[in-house]
Amino acid sequence: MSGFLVAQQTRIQVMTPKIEQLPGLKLNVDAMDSGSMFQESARLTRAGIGDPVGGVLQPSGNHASQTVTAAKPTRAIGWNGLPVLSFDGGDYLICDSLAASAGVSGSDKPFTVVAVLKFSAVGAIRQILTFGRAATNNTLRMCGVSSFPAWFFYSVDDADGENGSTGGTPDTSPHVVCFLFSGMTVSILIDGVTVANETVHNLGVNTLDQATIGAQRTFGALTQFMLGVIGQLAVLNRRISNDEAKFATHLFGAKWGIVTL
Amino acid sequence: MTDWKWRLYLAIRAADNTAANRQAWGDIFANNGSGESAENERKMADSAIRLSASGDEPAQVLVASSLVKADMRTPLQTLIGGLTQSLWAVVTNPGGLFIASNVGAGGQVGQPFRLDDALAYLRDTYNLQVIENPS
Repeated sequence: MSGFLVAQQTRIQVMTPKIEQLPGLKLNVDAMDSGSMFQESARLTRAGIGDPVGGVLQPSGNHASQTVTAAKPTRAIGWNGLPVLSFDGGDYLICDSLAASAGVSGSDKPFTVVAVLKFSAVGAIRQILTFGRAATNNTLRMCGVSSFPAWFFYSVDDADGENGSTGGTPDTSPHVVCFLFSGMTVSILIDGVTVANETVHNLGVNTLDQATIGAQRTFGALTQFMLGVIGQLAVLNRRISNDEAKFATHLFGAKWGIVTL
Repeated sequence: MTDWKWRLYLAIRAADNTAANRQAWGDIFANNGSGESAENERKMADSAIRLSASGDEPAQVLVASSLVKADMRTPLQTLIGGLTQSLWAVVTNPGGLFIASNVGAGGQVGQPFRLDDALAYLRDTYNLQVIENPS
């Protein structure tokens, strides 16, 4: 027997789970990602804590932007001392290329939205993400409606009417919110708890060319502004599986310090 | 340290949302380092909170809040303060602590003052209600 023992070095690589592991990611606005947050829509100056956010760089190319200083969300410190985007009731971000990129333009196209957010007040409609069509009322809306109260997945098409899928009760606590749209049904998960389970939602909306974070645009007007903070907002161009939804919920929950199922 | 040292809350009559005033405040932002064009900054009122005595449309008063840099603050206060029945209030950023307002009320120096407080002042003083949830 040899007097030498050769120890084989083993490199241990720790993999940190990321939302990017899910195929089809078309938007990932992450307030923790300081490298993606800029003060101007042209994305020239990094946005620190207390700065307005006018541009959010996206690897997908679906950069979010705001060209009006008074309408820019503020990068602020939210719950658990973590960076968030603060929307003051008149702030919003535009990401119009997302509508086509995420595949939501055209009737009955599946997609997924996962968000970490906290409303600062109840009593009104607070839009998280909306897809719309210029100069019409054709929209897909994902929101909290605290006066109803419920979490809403809502669509309205000038030609075909409207359809709402609802569940749960919004409040002012931080939550991981997941909207799963198959094209024909909607599931809504709040902190991993299913509050709407495959609700029939057979009204897709045709030809959507606008995407707005924190407000809706209908007939060219801005309404129903977000009042609160968003930590992270991810959009995928498919209805992710229930197991993937659990993964995303646990991932965001652990990252943002929110207890999830 | 952020250059955006203050947040300005402002309320103006809808009648004062004129092309001339939009141009004036757009120029103040654009010419003092906002990083955006004056043409875009003139759209400030598009996302303002709308108020009326009845709580229904049409809006009589527009309320907005904006972060401002040092060179923006005084000219904006002067512009807004020169309008009839206007309100401005300025708070620290970050922190949101009241510094001053043109009406001398609505907050106490050094105490937290938020948009809700500005809206409460307008409600209590002028009976102005936020127009909620137009579809």
